[in-house]
Amino acid sequence: MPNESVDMLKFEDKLKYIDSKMIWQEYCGFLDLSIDEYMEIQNRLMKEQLTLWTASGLGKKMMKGAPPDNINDFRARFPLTEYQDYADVLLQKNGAMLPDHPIIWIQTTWEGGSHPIKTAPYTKGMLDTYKRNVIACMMLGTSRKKGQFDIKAMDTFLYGLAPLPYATGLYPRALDDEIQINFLPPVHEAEGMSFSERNKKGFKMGLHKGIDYFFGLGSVAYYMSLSLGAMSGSGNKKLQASDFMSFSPKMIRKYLQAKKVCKRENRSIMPKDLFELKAFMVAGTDNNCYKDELEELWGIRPMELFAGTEPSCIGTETWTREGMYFFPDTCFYEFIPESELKKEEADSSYRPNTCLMNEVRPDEKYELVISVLKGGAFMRYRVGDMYMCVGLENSQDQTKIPRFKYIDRVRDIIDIGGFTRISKNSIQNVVDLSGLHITGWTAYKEFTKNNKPMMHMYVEMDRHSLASQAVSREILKEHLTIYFKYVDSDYKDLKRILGMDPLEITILKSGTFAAFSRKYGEEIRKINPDPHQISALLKMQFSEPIVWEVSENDK
Amino acid sequence: MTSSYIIIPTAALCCYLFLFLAFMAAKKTGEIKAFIMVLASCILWTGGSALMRLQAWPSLGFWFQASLLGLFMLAYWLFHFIVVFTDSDCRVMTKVWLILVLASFTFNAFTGLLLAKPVPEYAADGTVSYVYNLSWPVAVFFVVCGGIVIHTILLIFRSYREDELKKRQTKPIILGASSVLLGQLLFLAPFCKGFPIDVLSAFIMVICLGYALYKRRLFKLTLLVSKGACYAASAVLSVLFFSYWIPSMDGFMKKTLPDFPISETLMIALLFMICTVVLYNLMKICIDKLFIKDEIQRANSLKEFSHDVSQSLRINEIMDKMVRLLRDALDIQKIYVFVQNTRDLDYNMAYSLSPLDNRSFRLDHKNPLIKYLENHHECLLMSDFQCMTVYKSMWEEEKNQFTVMHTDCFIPLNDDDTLVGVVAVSLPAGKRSFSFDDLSFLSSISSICSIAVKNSRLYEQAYYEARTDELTGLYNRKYFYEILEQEYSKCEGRSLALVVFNMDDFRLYNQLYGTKEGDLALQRTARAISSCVGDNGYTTRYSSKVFSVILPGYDMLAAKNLADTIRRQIMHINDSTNDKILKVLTMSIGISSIPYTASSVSELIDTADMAVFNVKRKGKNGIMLAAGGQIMRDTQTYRNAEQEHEHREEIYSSYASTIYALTAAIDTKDHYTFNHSKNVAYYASELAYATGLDADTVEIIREAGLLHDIGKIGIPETVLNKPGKLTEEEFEIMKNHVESSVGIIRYLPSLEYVIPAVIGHHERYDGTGYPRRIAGENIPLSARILCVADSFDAMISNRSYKESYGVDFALREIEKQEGRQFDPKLASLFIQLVSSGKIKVQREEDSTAKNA
Repeated sequence: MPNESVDMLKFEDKLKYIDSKMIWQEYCGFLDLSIDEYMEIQNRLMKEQLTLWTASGLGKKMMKGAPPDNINDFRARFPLTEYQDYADVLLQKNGAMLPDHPIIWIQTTWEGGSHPIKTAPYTKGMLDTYKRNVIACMMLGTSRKKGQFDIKAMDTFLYGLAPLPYATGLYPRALDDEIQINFLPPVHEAEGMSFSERNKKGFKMGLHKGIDYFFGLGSVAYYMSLSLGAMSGSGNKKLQASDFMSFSPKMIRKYLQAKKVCKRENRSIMPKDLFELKAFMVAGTDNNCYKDELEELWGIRPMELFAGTEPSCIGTETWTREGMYFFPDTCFYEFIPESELKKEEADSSYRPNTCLMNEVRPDEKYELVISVLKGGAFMRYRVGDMYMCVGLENSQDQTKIPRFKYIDRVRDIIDIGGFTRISKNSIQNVVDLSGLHITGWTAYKEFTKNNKPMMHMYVEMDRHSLASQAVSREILKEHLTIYFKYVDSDYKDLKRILGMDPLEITILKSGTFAAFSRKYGEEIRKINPDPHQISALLKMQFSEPIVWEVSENDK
Repeated sequence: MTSSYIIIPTAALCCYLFLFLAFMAAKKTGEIKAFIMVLASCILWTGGSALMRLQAWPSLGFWFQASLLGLFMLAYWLFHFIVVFTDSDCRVMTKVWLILVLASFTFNAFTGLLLAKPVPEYAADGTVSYVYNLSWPVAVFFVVCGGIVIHTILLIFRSYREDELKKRQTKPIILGASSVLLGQLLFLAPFCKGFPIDVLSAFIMVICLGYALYKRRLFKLTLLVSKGACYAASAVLSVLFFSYWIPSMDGFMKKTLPDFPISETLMIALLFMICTVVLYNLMKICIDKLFIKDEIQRANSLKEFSHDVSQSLRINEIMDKMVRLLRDALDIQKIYVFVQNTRDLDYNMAYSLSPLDNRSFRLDHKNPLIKYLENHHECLLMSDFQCMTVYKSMWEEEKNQFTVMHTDCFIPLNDDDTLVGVVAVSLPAGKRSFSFDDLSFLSSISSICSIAVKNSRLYEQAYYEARTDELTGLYNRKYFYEILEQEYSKCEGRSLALVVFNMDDFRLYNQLYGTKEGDLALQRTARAISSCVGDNGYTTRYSSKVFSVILPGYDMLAAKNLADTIRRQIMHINDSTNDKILKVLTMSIGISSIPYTASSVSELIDTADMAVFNVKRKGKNGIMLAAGGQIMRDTQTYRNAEQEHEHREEIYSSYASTIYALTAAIDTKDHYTFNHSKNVAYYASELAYATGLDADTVEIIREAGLLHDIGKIGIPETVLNKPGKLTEEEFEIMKNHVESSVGIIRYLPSLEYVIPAVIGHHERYDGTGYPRRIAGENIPLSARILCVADSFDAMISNRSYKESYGVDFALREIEKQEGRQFDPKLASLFIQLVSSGKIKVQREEDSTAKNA
């Protein structure tokens, strides 16, 4: 063993010199924690973070007053935050104001924000933790039981996520520091390619070298899997004879065998016919819509993990795929119960209370609030994601810490396939830009019969324009889609990359929204109204005559 | 060839026995147990085979069965060893193979149908060979053993492929297994016929397995070598050597020395002896150099260390010894010792190998490392710690610190269940990891040190608490007297100065900012004084707001200069507090020094105290030397004596109003006490003046006289003016007036300097007075003076319970009480002053007239 501490050893060296039990303990040992031990780690690291943060320029500016005495004092005095609260410091990448020196700045789009992008600093401590977390995810991805994993240097990795400076681009870079993994195509090449080029090259290389790991957004992984089927089947994407020259004999045998089986079963080739994945990981929203199909395609159920620009990689499922566990040393987690969110919705000045990891209850939904540890900038930050606690213990995983299931983005946001985040403001912007005489609308995230996500807009047209404008459902859809693509580049990617057209339009009778307000004494929510409100809205189309409000123009 | 069949198995047997016995003494893990069983099987197989060839008692058949059982069990235990070593899950198959082996052997033992015992065939030259009659049922044995061997090979192969680590760990085992297989193959080869290659290959395999265990640090190598083992090994080797070479030697001797048949035996015996001794010494030297020397050295070091630390109660001494031992015995270059701080329970770096190490690092008592060591009283390798989940809660700064410190192992120092310290050490120079021996050595040090640290902590805590003031960390009053006495006894003609710092208006400071801020002021002041004094003297907290500094070898001037530097620093202490504006802290400082102004310890204290009182009376914030030195201030300097006199008058006039107000209050209640106080003030001040005290001290004593009975204001008039003798209860009430007086004066900061006189004026020189029952010169001089004056006036006055006595009677009484109630010197001086008329007797009518 080299004369270095374990902390300094690369993961690849650990595989050579350290017992696999010890490696498991180091990376996945957090699964054995009791909730008290888990909270001890959380509290101790939060204490460190509070010390660093309150001493920083950012902390002093935001804390306004004496530094907190302890974590409870901080939670009582410091309000929940959003990106806007940090924008002036972080968008200027003002490292001197931060609790610790940032090594890298990660960016993402800021839908509905005052600036097109959001940036988030990553310190050395955060990056070290991130590396350990992604390796833990890989180990758990390959594990079929507790303590068992299968990672080797030179394994091949098909990676279906965006490169740096997006958070997803950090994954291959972090992994590259720890172990030699063959990314398909290599990271430095992939960073200069378009999405489809990357996929095509990746699959071709996969057919040559085999694929051990696959990681992507659930929606993207699904699309990529279908493309692979197309490449290996018939059609214009079909593999050429020259491609087979680069195949290994093993792959040629598998390919021929797969062809034979598919012909017999009268189906097209699926990835599982050619590849035997060690680990299949997905992230993002709407993974539940794709998991079953992905399992069918690859023969292995995808393992979900949670990562984001602000929080980094914070949670992972295990070999049982029965809910995610949060890493104890990445962020300090708080949860806003649904009841508190309702209070906030009714009164925007209300400050919702949060509970901690040891206070969550099974089957309750929560909005996640994080404080990024190890010199991170974000404190009590609302990530905008909803989780449901699915249990406090699990006999199959032999865990005694809460596990969660990702539900969706918060109610004010419509996220389609993890690609785009549509808010009330962005829709209103689209409606205004379109010039259509839409007088009322509400948008609701629904799922198609095939269980694919879409955005359903219920719109009401100005009745005076009906005589002068063609406003068929198709025209509205076409029109609005153009402007959605115009204001939101991610929306454009939905079509470009995934071939998805997620907008559905229903035109309501003029005056329906006003009638709804009169009848129920409240306006309908613009984004994701309650299902019963949608039903009521639709019911009003048929059951009740709409009473027009007479305006000056009518007279 | 026959001799090969005897010598090689015998040598192998000896080695197996030797290893078997050695491993029986080792700590038995699963792997060690399995290895012991492998050795036992080898012994049975090799021993049985050898004894069968010797046709030893009881029979050839018996030893054949023993040898066969050994061989089968060797296959089984080898399989079991691999299962344990590779951590494979083969519980069912382990049982299945055991049952099959035992069943087939038992069946054969009773029936002999599978493999019958061999038949000895005697050749013409006398050599014996053993012929086995093999038939097809022997295949059962081959199937069972073959199955076990294949399963074993599979397990080794699987483990080899699993990961890099197991690949390297499995290599010696693969080598051993290959040796056995090769041995069995060669055994069938014609050129090996007659040579026990199978036994030799099995022996090589055992050595390989042992090496694999050693690489896993499962046993101590030194366990295998000892003096006894050397004797045994050299004896066995000599016997084997001679039994092989005796025929040749015999022939050689007969040929060369045919005429001395007796010398033949003698020569062989002599050669045997020399050979054994040489072999023994060679082995011993070799083993000593390899293992034992270090072991003995370490054992001696530990013994010495244990003895040394048991002699010491000083934690620093213990740490020093431990650090040296670690450096010398293990060649460790980086050693840091953290010791628990009893105040906040955190662990501060108390000691390190190099004085240049940064010792500011501390371990929070909630640090996961501390928690682990508290629960597991054993050494913890950094590499193990880093693999634990609790390591995740380490702060980045803490991790970095350990990296900077190059820490590779933590040694706990426990006091029962309390972790009192942690020793962080780096790897020994030139080593990549700690060996089993190193860790055992560190554990021993940990145990020895834990006991020593526990004792020394108790001692040092008691030692510290007994001598230290909790608030300021300075020496306390008790230790002040101890040091002063020590230094006085040592001074022998050298000077010894005492500087008393009395904080001005501290009560007001507390009232203005609260006691918490007051405590902070005391701490800051203490730091300022002790940092200025340094190692030149002793800084102590004498009483609540009084600090004193003992300065051996200081004369008055040097002490005054130091005191002035400190006074100036203290005045600026509060400049740096940003949060609020605090009052400037000033000090009234009195200095006295032996032999210039005092000749005894008590006089040194009294005169320094008196000097402080004088500064207080002259407006505070200044320094005064005992025996009427000039006061020193920054802001006020007096151009001439007249100005100073005016200033003094001014101060007195401001006190005078307070004193008159108080005496007027007592007058309204008890006119007698009012007059009495005035008379006592007069007698006392005259006596003080005659004693040679300076004017300021005389004034203090006069004021004390005026106020000495002010506490009577709280005594019921029925008791105060009761005609006749007081009951015991009433007398107790009456006695309380002393404390009451002090209680009233305490609220007058400007008059507090009279308290020593007031509180002591009912003390008796023989120690039977009240309230403190102090005696002799422990009673302040001012109180002794007041006592004489008070008693004299009480005797010559009319009281509600008695008529006045005559002056002569009173003076006689005073004379009688010399050395009992009164200071003899003062009493005789007073008698002399009254008798000579220098003190005028004050009668009640005189006082009344004066008042009128």
